[in-house]
Amino acid sequence: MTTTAFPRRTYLNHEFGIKSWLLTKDHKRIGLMYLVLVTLAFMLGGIFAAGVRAELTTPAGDLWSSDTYNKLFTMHGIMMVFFVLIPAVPAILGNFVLPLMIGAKDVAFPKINLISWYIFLIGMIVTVGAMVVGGVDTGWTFYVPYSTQASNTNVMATGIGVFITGFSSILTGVNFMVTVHRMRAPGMTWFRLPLLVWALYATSLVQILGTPVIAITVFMLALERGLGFGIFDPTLGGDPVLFQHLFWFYSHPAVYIMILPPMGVISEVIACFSRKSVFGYSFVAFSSLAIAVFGFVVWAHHLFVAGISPYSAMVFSFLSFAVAIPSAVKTFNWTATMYKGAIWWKSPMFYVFGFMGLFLVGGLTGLFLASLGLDVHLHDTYFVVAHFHYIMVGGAIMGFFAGLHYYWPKITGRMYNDTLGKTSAVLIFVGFNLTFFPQFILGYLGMPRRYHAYPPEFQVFNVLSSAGASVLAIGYLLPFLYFTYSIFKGQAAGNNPWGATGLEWTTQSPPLPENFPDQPVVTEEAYDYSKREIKVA
Amino acid sequence: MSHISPKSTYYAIFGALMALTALTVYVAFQHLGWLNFPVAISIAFVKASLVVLFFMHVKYSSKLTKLLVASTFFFLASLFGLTMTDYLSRGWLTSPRGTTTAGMLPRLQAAELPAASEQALANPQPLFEATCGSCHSFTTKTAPTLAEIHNLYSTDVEKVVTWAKAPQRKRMRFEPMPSFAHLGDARLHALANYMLQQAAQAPPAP
Amino acid sequence: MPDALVAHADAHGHSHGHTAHHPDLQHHFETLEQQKEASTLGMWIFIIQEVMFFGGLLAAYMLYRIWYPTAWSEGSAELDIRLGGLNTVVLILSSLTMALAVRSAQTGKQKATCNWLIVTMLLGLTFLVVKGFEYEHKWALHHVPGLNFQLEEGQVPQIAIFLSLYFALTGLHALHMVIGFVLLSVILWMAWRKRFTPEWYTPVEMAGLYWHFVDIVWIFLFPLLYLVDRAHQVQ
Repeated sequence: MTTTAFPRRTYLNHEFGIKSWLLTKDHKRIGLMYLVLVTLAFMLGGIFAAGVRAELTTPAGDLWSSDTYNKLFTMHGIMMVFFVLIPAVPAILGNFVLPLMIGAKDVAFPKINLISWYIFLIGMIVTVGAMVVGGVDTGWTFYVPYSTQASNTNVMATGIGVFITGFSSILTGVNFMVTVHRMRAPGMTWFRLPLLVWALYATSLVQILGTPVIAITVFMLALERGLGFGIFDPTLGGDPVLFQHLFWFYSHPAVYIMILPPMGVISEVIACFSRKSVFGYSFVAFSSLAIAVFGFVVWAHHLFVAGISPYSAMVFSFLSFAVAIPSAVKTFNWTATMYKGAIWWKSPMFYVFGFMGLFLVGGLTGLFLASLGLDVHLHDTYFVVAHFHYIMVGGAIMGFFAGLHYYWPKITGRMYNDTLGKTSAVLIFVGFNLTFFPQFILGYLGMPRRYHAYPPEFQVFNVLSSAGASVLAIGYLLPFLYFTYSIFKGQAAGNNPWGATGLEWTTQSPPLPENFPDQPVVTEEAYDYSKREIKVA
Repeated sequence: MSHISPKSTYYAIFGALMALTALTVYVAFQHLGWLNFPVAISIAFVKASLVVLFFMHVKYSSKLTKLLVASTFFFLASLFGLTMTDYLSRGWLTSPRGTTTAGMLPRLQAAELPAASEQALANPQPLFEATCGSCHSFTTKTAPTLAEIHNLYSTDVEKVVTWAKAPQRKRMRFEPMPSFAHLGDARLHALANYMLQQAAQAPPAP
Repeated sequence: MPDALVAHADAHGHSHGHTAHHPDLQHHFETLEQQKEASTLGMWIFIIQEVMFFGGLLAAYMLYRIWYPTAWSEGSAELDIRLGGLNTVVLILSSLTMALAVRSAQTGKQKATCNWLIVTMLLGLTFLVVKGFEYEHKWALHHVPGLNFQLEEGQVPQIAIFLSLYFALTGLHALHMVIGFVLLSVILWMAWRKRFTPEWYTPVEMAGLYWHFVDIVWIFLFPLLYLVDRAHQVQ
């Protein structure tokens, strides 16, 4: 039963002024502040992508110089990886919703939460600053010896920016882990937790254990480039491949930081919009932990052709196949959740369906790349580019948008135009496939990645890809418009517009500053949809 | 409230840490061969454990804390262990060149090399300097010196050639020598001759 | 209807105002106990990530030690084992005094807390001064890679890698000590202002955990850097 009156006192209106935001300790406000920065980063990264795709419409490298092109794809990668994908679900949705989901008043360390945001801001300013004064052209992977000895671009500044930003991720991970361990409401046992909480917990593990390793790697890079230390220098007997080992030790688990929280969101949305409990709850919960742990032992599949020993490569290939299993468990369980459910076609569910299809393709093509023999042909081609975009954009960003559309009423207290929501979901899905499916073919045919000129026979697929990118851009622009509109003119959402289970939906939208009027006590299992009526809205 | 350790506990642990420090220095000067390193690390582990358990109160902390501390080693171990699966297995069976800087010399298959010309065989010095000479000099510390090679082989060219095709590893202080079988017999004989001639001479004045 | 699934507990001490809060209990926690457990857990997780931070450098160390035993032997011989040993003793002693400082805070002895903290800080300072001497000596000998490095007669060139890792590891460690020193000065100031009671001394304990961690890093660095192949150098 929803009320149509907008709540009187909310976390948005109980304090006004710039100081009340910049000095806030409220996890909900901090989540919104992250939304602002991540949206800016997404736009910037998108502009760089547009630069890349514009060049690739024609075979000749005639739009940008090769140096500029190198900078464009490098900066696209850096913005998207560090400033969009890593923070998107955890820092925005996680910050907002985690304490609400477990019945807490805030995260364990609210001041550190605010500091995390400032660290993110400073890291972003330094990194974007490096881009403004000339950019960096090493690829977001910064491989040595090019990055230490040969590149004449702003490697140090970018490295410092990335180093700083990493601490934001680490501190968020620390905060979430302690919050889940120590701040759950009475009755909220581990196996009554929503699966998004399990996902955020697993993500925190990865953030805490992995991010420091890239921090030290960037530090070593800086020592070598700045002071001339020889740690990776081949002329001294150093091994450049060691850099790759250390870099990917973080950067592979990083992709699990990017995908685990969106997977958690999918679990939430799919249960709500199938009006059914998630099938095999404990399997899905444990699969999040399994992905986090297994994700740490597969990194050298990025080094298959770098010169590592074939025996080591076999070990990593085997482990890379193994890490697909928990993801598959989730996919099957989500499908089983929908089976004999009552599907309710609202915007969040559109994004879920988009996710399911695209993540499936992305995940399966990962197995292609995990096969040693195939990888020899496919490494550093557009096949890899297509694979990871299917996971990151088709998977992670879709999941993020599903979460945004699901939690928007809770965050703002307003409903957005659902038809527009569905339209943009479809546009994104179509645009995405048009952009990236041809890239699988291009990669298979042998077009290398990071090239700004290519043989004319590849042009058709490149044009399709660039055209798709335009559709994709429109798809991403639309939510910006209708979400903004909804803040001013949207219908009041009420506590629970979706009729969902979960503590976060028991309280008002937008929530109180202290989240709950009284301490909630949990007596029911998660996702108990048996008692719920289907909402017709 | 939380456990308050008596001061005597702290002093005792300090004493143990001092004793272990002295021990590790003492052991470092003993000839234990390859055991020196594991012993040193083990002593460090014991010291670290004492600090963790007693100074950092983990002995009296929650199970969760204990689990977290223990699990760190798992992840550190996977970083070290899996990275080393690469480095330790480079050069196993499939690759004759080994993992060292010498092993990173450009790979040349025997079929790619043109037949050695008469001139090249008559004057092997440039090839010597590019291959054998990069490791075997009079003053090297990474491989047997020319003087030592003279002691070992004197004028026995055949033995040198046999070794160069399939090097064993008898001296663990040196990095493993890669195989030079790909150079072919003709070149190897010329090189071996040249090397033994050089080795028989006195080292150049410094 | 959604309310039915969740029973609401009665408002206990956190409806604003009446029940006496401990002044150090933060608003989002229910009890001091919960707050302390959360702080301790958070600090440990932070320390764990610091271990992974050093771990990357140690992975590089491990690889190159296996590849270049000669360079490692020669490099280690260039380090002054007496200064390294002295620093080890100094740092372990500072861990003892830190533990005693925490204990004093636990038992409400404000002056003793301050004194032990001061001693700890002085010992930390000693460590840094000794390190400074070592670095200066290395500079004089042209042993600083990239900046003034000169390979000596008879040494293998890979000694530069050993020295790079030496400076990276000890430099990073020294940086952590400086941060620890600043941290302790803040704690000292708070202790001086009588902020700590036996019910609440969490910042002292957290600073202690950090300080002990920095000590543990050195406990490993000392044998890894100073005690390589010493047996063969005694000839």
